[in-house]
Amino acid sequence: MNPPELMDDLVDEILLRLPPDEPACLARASAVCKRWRRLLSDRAFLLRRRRRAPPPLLGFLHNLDDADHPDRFVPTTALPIPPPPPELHCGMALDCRHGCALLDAYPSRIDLVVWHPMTGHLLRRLPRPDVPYLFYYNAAVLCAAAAAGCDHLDCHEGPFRVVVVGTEEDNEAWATVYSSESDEWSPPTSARLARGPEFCVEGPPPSSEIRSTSPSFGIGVVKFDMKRHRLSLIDPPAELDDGFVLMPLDNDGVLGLAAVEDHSLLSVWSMDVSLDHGHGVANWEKCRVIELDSLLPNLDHSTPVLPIGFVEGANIIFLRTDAGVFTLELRSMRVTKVCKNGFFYAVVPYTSFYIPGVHLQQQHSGPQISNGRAWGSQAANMRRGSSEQPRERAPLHQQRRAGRPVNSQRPTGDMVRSSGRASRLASQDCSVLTHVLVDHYSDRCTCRVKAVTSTAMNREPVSSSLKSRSIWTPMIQATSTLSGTCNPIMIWQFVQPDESRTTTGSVLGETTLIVCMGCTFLFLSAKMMAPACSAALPTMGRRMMLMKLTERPHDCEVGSMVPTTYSERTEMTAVMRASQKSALANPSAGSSSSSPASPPSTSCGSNSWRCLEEEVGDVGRQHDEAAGAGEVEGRRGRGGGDGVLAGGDGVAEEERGGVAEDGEEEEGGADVGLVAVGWRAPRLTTPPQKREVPRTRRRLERTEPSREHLTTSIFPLSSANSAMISSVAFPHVAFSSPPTAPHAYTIINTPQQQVQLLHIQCLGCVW
Amino acid sequence: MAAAAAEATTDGGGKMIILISADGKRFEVTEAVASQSQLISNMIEDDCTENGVRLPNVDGDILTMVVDYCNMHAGDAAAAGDTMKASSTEEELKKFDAELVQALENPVLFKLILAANFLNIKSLLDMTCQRVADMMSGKTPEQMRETFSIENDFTPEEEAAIRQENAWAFDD
Repeated sequence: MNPPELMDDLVDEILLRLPPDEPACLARASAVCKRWRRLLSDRAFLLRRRRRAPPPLLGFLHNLDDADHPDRFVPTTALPIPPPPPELHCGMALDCRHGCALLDAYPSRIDLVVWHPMTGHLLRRLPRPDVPYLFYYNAAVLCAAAAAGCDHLDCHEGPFRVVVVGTEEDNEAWATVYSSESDEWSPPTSARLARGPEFCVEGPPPSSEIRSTSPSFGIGVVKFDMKRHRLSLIDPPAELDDGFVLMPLDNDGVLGLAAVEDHSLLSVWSMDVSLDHGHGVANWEKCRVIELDSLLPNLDHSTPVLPIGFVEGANIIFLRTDAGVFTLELRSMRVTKVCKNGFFYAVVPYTSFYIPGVHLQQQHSGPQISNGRAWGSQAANMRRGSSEQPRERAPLHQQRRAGRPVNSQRPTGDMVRSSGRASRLASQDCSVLTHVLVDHYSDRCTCRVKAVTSTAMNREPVSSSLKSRSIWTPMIQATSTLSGTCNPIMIWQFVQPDESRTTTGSVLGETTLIVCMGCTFLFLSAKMMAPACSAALPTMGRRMMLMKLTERPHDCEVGSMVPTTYSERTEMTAVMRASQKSALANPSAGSSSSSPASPPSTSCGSNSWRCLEEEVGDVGRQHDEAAGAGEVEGRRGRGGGDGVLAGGDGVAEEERGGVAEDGEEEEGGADVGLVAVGWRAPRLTTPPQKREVPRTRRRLERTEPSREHLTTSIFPLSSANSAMISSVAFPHVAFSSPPTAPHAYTIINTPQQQVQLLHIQCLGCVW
Repeated sequence: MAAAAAEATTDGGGKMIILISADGKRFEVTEAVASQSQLISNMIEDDCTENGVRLPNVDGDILTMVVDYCNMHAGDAAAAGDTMKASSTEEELKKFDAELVQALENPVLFKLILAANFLNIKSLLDMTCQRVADMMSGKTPEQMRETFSIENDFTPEEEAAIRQENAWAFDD
């Protein structure tokens, strides 16, 4: 008997509970099926998983050349980890964080290498910093975004910083910071310290702001303030005469340290930060004492117990005893023996790290897409054919929005909301237009485009002349209706790669992104699309063409209207009212809001094919009619007013520029909507074989979200993007060539939402 | 009869509630036992349990298990005052829970998860999900698919890519 199928939520619950210390289990689970891969890559899932338990300790690196421990890495779980590259075999492990290990290639000094223990990749060999010869030094690797509040879910293999702190012979301390993005060291900072601490390679920094190097023998701690680039010396508690480890306390940046007193008392100290102003006088307070005799078995005290490492987050202290190396979890007081013997001076713990599928969002910077103005002018340029110069004139809908700077850069990093704004293109090739677009692009969005690119290449570019230097890229955009339903829209766009960079991977570097001229197609729910079109294109959206993937286009009438939260609220509302009004007045006229002169729908039955073309061609005339029809304006309310205004502008512009084009006039009306598509089909000569009318209602049926995260995510496709998965603990889970997102999105797929999926295609595209 | 039963009271449990499984089996439980299910607890609050609670998603044999579980765990709150008793029952409960989930085969376990989810019994859901998660430990993707009867919808190339990129996680 087959087990019943579990819902996503329940699979989530199960995956959440996979053994935390067995990262391979999650890696394998991600290879089970696409759905699991998607679930595992969900950022919310990964955050939940991390909240359940901090990243588990997987092992530690040590620096002991010992026959018993030939490997630098000692696993504490059954984790098969590849040995470091041969050239690093005698390197010194300095630090380990976010999945990266920092090694110093022995015997040269400050020859640092960042290594990825899990995959065995050598991430980078750093250049030598420009500092004097340092007698004692230590270094740490940090996530570059730590100061910006990175949650460290996927910062491994992302940008990182390496901090080196050391002292010369004459107590002069130096510090310098390496940035992985620029591949350079910062100008070194120096300060003369009161005393020269004997540095030992030990001790992770307690927080991102403070990089401390701790001497193993209780002489002092050098603090390096990464914000102000200042060095100072901190005295450890005077009572301590043996080694200690530094540790952050309570994750609030308070420096703490742990030391063993009287052979068997582990004491934890916290520093009063308020008194530390670089004078080297620190106020230490003993906040906890742990009796080790009862915890550690069989201590004969032949060698003193020494703390040799600390795991951030998990709050685990490594203790070296004569009976072996133990870990002590400070919260649960659980003691585990991790190594039989080993006289380590310091160990660098290696914890698991979680990789969500969203490494898209952090590691790429800068908006790659031109601003709204550029969109508009490119659109205009393309509409006129490439031989003409672009005209420096903002599209009408932008002119009308005089209060807003149309040239402002698109905000970056704000993917949560993207507002749709129509801008229009008409291409001579395809004799039509489409447009679409989206206001707020950010890194994540562009990256997502990139992610799907490789699977999206199977569509032929319309024009062969474009083929050589263009790729077709799907843009994924989601909209949300007032009822809370998310509608994914997939938009295929023409991306022109930067000429200097021709590889697909770098296409989005500095590219100009141009809206596809003739080959835009959208997937979206009919209930969204139809109203959106009729709202966005009062002059031409009155017919929608619905198309199944394999069939000729059919047209249908759109009689519904929906407000969208992302467009201009008032305008949408106004149009909606107008639409309702006219729909009520003449239900058979479909979305007659778009055109007061709409012919009866019956007249477009089997002849609708031709009829549509005529309508498209007649748009300008209809506009003029709209502009001239005062009583129509009155009937259509504010939405009608908009249309009239647009028409008026179009006329005015006509007079100014002496160019009369349908497209320009259409632009005026397109302001309102989120996405709008209009088309005609010069290349398709046979009429549709049958007529398919979607069941649209006057109002959008309210569909309740089936899963919360699908509705909160404004990009539901992110979950469809199983490509980008990864899961807990692996470095390279993402496909190099991600699987194609299925046509049916999760949202639409759910049985609760009986949403009809339409495939709307600009007919200029040749299949 | 249902109404009569619903009004009946017992010494400790207060009102009795009738649960009716998908295949028509009836279970009579006290309010304290039934209200471990958030679903039923809400229904009790709304006073719509008088004619029995129909649970169309839960089979009789699964509901038997759920009711057993709830019966065992209903003692929790009552025994909380007596520490000695609480600690002993705690051990018993753990043993009972372990035996309950250990013995189950996959399809039944999954049905139990669905039932726990439907009835919104958090502790039971926790326990059963944990059990399934534990079962996955050390399994290959093929075995996991078998456990969940999932079809592999990766293309061979995709799967090879995943395996290669996470080679450390795949022994074979």
